[in-house]
Amino acid sequence: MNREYIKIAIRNLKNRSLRSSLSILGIIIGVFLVVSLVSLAQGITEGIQQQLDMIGGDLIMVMPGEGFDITSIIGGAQLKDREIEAIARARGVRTVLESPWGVESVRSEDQSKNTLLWGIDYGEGIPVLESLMGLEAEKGSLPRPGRREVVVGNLIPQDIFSDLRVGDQLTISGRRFTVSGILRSLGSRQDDLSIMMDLSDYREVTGSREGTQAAIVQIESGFNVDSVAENIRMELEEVGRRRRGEEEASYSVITADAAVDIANNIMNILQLAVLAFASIAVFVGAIGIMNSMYTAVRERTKEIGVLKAIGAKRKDISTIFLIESGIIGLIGGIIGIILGIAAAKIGEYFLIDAHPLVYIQAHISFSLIFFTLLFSFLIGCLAGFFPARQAAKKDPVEALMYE
Amino acid sequence: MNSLIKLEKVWKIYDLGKIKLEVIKNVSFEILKGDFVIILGPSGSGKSTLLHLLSCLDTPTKGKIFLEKNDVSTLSENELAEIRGKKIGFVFQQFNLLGHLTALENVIIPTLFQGTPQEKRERRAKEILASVGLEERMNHKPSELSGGEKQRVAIARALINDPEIIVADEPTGNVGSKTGNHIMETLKELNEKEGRTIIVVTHDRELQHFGKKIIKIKDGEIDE
Repeated sequence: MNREYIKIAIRNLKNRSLRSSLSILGIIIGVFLVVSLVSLAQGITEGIQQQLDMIGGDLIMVMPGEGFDITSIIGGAQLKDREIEAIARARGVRTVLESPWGVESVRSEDQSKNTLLWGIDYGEGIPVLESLMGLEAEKGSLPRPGRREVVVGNLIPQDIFSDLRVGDQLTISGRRFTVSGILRSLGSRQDDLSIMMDLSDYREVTGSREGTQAAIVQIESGFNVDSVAENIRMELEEVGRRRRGEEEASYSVITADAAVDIANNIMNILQLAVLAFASIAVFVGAIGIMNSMYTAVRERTKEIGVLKAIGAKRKDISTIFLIESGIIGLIGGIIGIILGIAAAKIGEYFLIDAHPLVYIQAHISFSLIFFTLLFSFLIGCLAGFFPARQAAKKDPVEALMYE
Repeated sequence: MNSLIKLEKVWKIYDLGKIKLEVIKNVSFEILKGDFVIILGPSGSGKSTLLHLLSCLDTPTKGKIFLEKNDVSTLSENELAEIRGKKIGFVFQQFNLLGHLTALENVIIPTLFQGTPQEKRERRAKEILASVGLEERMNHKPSELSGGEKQRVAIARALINDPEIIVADEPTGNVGSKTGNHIMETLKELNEKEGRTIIVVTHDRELQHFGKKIIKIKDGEIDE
């Protein structure tokens, strides 16, 4: 590749700077959407994946709503006591743990912050979580029931209450609790940013008598996870039938394997949708480049004639135009990526505030940046292909005589 | 006899649907190495078309054109481009410099298509620009140059690949008579000192005395 060709291409682009900028803008918008949306979508799916990874092999999660849709997690759908009882009745169920969560203002010394609280029955729950989810205190010890003790996720001292230590006091809804320990990471950022408290304390501080967004089920030994899940489903349907006249409730009974499948499905659908949407934007950008290049070819007909007269072959002419459109794609790609990353970061910031439960960390991978850059360059070249071919095919005499 | 370009019964006919426009009719002549040829004719006489044929920009409808005994009338566009790049230098009436490039860059362009190494390109372009008296104006764009200066840049561009033949289409058409004369003197020098073959197309009879050989053309035919 001739360095001079690139120089000529850049001069030509500068020469029609307004039109070049507009074509570049078209690509920027497309790439911007690809990078910001895809990185956020990847972040969301990873957050969900982390949550699901925590479900051990012999655990079953029960949640309201069908197909584990994100709206029922974010929204307020809850399992009520009669549903928890129904789950407990199912054959092969050993323990049902209500696992509600909610956001409350938590005060440590003079700092007050909205923090995610996670209620779990200490007596029944801690042994289950210890054995099946690897719950463990990194510092201090796991809490004991009846002592108004809480444990905090390992990111709380880092991100929420700096320098929080074991033995410190936290005030939630006017009640004081002692931090008995700091947990080892549970693998998901939102869990690591939450405070775990005894279910009865949780009910007291949140004022909610019943209801949980999820129930964790431990199965009896000797039972098969899938058949127990089926039993739970049947019991819940029974509850639903008895409440005739009400809107039929639906449930997600998720085993570890199913959870991974679901997460993968969500990931694929979400990313495909996002990619399809963003690709349309890139495609429109490509049309913009093509239009600009066709205009450039027509305007520079005489120049093409001169270049051909002084020895340019078809390949030389098409290379000059292809470099131009490739540069448009590349510049658009670079700016689009920078803006996309910025937007993803800003989005991340606001989405955290919007709902502390759904922790979204934009996932900006090297491959996303690399392929987007390559893609925008190729889109540029592709959009320039037909105009460049038209330029290369021009008859030298006709082009030279063109006024 | 050192034949450089030879035309044998050359026709150029444009098919415009119902009408067939015969622009060049049965033209035969020969140009020798080291010639200074003036092709003289009024506008519409077909002299530009003849120049395009002579300079391998176009191929004849009928007849043959030989360049150094090789038949070039049936070559492909890319093969012709190769010949033009190596053997022929063009000087146009409108200068046809690229407006967004400097004089030096304009002169370098033809070397890009020949794969000349970078350092050599620039060194040679500077030498040639200096030889036409433009060493001070190398980094100026065409819009900052006078008509005469532009034409000298164009001549430098025509010379960069060291071609055997220089073709000039109305080279004095867009400059004053004094500058025009100066340009013709430059071409004459290239012919006499460097032995290059010069072909000038013009309607200006005043320029006749520069030529060693005059070809008059009228209505597409040689006017004896």
